[in-house]
Amino acid sequence: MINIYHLKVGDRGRIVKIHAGKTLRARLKSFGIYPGVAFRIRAFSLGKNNVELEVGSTLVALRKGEMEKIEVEKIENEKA
Amino acid sequence: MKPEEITVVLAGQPNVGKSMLINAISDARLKVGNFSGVTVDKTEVEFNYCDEKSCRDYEIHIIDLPGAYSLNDFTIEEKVTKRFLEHEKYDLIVNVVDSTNLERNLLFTAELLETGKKMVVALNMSDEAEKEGIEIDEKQLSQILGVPCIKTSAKEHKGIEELKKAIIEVYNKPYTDSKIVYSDVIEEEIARIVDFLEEKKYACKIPYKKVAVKLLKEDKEIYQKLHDEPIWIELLPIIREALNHIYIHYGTKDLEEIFEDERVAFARGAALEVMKIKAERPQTLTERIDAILINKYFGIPIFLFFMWGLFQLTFTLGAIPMDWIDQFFTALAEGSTKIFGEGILGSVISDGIIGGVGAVVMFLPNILILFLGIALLETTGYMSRVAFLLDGFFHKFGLHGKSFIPLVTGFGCSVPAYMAARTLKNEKDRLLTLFIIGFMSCGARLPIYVLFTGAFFSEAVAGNVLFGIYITGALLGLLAAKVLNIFVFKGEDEPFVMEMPKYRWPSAKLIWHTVYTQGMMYLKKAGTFIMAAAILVWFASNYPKQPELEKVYQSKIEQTSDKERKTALENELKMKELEKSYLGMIGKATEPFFAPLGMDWKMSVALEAGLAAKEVVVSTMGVLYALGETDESSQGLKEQIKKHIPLPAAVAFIVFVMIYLPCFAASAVFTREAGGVKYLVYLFIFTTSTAWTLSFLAYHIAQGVLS
Repeated sequence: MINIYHLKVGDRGRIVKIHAGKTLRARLKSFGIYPGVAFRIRAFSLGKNNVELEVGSTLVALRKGEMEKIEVEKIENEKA
Repeated sequence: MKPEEITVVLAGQPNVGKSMLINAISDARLKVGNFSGVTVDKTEVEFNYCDEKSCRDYEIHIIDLPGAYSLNDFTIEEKVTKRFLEHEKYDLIVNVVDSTNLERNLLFTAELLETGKKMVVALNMSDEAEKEGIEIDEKQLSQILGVPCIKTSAKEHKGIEELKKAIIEVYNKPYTDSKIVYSDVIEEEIARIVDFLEEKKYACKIPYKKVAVKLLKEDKEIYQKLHDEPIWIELLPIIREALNHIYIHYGTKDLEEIFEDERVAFARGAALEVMKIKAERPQTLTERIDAILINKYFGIPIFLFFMWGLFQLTFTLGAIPMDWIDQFFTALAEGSTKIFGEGILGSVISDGIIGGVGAVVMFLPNILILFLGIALLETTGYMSRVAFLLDGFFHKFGLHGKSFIPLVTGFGCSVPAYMAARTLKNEKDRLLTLFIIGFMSCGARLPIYVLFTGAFFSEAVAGNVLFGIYITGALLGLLAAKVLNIFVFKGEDEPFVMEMPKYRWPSAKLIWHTVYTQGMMYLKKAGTFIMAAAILVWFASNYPKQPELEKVYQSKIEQTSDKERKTALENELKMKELEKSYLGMIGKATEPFFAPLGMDWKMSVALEAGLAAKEVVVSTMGVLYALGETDESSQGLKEQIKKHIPLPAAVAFIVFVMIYLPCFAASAVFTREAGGVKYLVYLFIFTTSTAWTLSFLAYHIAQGVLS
């Protein structure tokens, strides 16, 4: 299983499953993060402790602990 | 005719420009208060509206609810909003939506629609959406949602009149049920229940569809109501079957989650249908700024540079008006001595009241600059970037990136800082943050530092020393957090899910509002708390009177003809009188406690007075040291301090001030936020013992270095 932590800045991906309890799942949902949604990695902070995700037109910051709970699939760039 | 009153609540997600909108709706003065029971800000505004068509007057009362991402209980703001929407009386909801972020915002809209209240949707920030090439068909959205949607731009003052008109219209129309469409599976089950109710011609005030939805959501109230009716026997199997179908389809029995997913699908579908994005979106300004400001390597240095700049500005720019204020109050004190004479009344007015309050007002410029800086950080959106940058670092100390916000606010004033700690939902994170906010030296401690650094260092170095004091305090706080985290607070960390709002040009009006309220709060404190403390200190330092001592010295003074000797004797008398006063007694009694820190009784008295308010430390020192002062042209308190206090003791004093218990007002807020008096006791023990120990070390190290 790959999760957000495995991706690099600029990578695009799609959320497959969220391996977390109900509260965190609901919280993520209210920020637009739920299975099926595409996102892009905007930035990591020093030591990959935090990530800035672009989901829709929202920017959301997560911590390493949350990154590892979000199973994703990478969307390969289709180059023209 | 009396105008008709309408109560409107403003609800929306954070960072959608609600406060800007409320400002745009009415230029009348905002009333800022608290929601009952909690100290979440409650902004209200009232204005009159005349409907020319029906010639009716309305008095519209708007309450701004705290920003919430959903109606969960995740943060205290969400709790307050949820409770208010469910239990308070109001006529309609204005749901403020960020047009540039439609899908996520509509998710909250869907939740609001389910409350079953009249509603108007304000598609705010429509100007920004246009710039980003986002086109929204508001008419179609109105159709889909079943409530009027109005495009507004608080910034450009567009759509405000239309919004007001829509509020009146919706208010006058009867409530129509929301048009939320569920997925086929659920709609089918709803239809089945509705059909049955229709067949039975069940008498009911609420529409059948709503009854059906409530039944499927396992709403307690509706079950209780139907449970006692004959229809229940026949209805029950239908519900059971319906739920079973739903469970099988969704693969879960969690109804809450099923309906959450329904809302997600609804919001997504609605957004997709009404929104068109023209062309490829160019790289936004936010992206470009973020590339620099949250850069892995430059981000933190840039932030530290900003902070350093802010403190330099506070120190240098603030010094100019400080001089004027100082001159004004000196003149005022002189004038009042002329009017009221040199007796008790004159002394209490010029030394006690004017002296004390003057010392406080003098630092208003510094505090305003600091608050201005913090308000800028917040409104531009930079504050959450800083939280992002620093979370990795803070997390190592058991804190949260969001702890940064209350901690930085702590540099302004501990009172709002304690309140800001509420964004931390997890009890442990919040308590830990609350305990170390005091380490972030508040604006009221600034006067003490300014006084001491100014007394012992040249103007060129003083700014750097001051910066050093603040940084050292903050680092000590982190260390304390780590220690507390290991030994006292154990438990799970709060998940870190935080929106990074778009960078926005700060609104002058909002900044002014923040700085103004903070400044007023400081002055009010000066006018009441600190003045009372100043008078108390004045009384304690002047009583009991020593007539015999006075007689002895008076005769001594009369006997000598040497002018210098005369002044020296006068000063000596004042010193002796002080020593025998109540204040002196307290200081003397607690001297053994402070003696190992190299402090005399005067310094102990100043520190004890600081428990009332930190501003009082300076005014107390004014009373304690400037009394022997006869020459008005001297540099005043700074000179006195330099003369009377050795540097090691001054260092110990500063260290003690950095750490010990905050003022009365802050302590009271702390107690409430932490959730009990016992926490205040812990805080007192924790801060006092830490302050004493570190002060002791600082004193001896300074002595060793200097000798």
